[in-house]
Amino acid sequence: MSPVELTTIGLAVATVISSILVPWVLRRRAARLAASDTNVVSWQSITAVLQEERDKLRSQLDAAAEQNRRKIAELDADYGSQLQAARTRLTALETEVARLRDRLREYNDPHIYPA
Amino acid sequence: MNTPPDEIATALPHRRHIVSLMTIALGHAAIGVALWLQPERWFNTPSYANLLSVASTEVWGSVYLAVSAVMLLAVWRRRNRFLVVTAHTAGIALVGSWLIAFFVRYLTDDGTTIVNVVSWATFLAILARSAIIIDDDLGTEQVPAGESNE
Repeated sequence: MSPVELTTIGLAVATVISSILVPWVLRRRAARLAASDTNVVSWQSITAVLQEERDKLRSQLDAAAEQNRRKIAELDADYGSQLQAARTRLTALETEVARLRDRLREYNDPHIYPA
Repeated sequence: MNTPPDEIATALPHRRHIVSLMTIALGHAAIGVALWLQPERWFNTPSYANLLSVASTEVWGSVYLAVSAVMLLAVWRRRNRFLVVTAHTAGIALVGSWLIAFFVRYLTDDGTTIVNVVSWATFLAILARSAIIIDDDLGTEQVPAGESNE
């Protein structure tokens, strides 16, 4: 058999064996990895744990932010009404002061109350 | 700088076989282009006499370029296990068959050295190693919704 014939046979055999063997070995290896509990460190599981933790923290932060918003709204409402009441009272006092000043002016007027 | 966990999961593990595959794909492309553009160099090198008796430089060049294209496609669609396995299988078949050809040449011709056999065996070993770690990488990689692993 000539070297060229041997080469041709070698090429054909290597191609056929590789085409069958490589997918078969890789399929078996994939199955073994999938079946093994002691698989290499699973990035998926680490990611899942981290994502769960992140979601938990995010929901806690959201809850705290909502509570703060409610508290600020309550304080706004409370102080707002107190401020309004104080303003009303101040207006009433100013009116009273103006009235008393007028009265005082009348008392000091010699035309109205001669000495 | 902190890297988000999603990015860690998709950035680290799958790169190993993809880097090997890309290197090998570029190697195949270089050989394919050289077979097409410089056939005289191949004909003038006795080591390739048997291979070039089986098929012309254009045929071998086309085969190398086709395998290279499949490998580059697998690099691009690296989460597609079928494509990655096909690319490795095609590469191993091609490199393995050339290794056999050089081995036959070494056994039948006293004028050749073992160097080509060793070189192509090393090439094959890198490709085989790349194939073996596919599932280590794909198995630990986070696959976004909508992208298949098969």
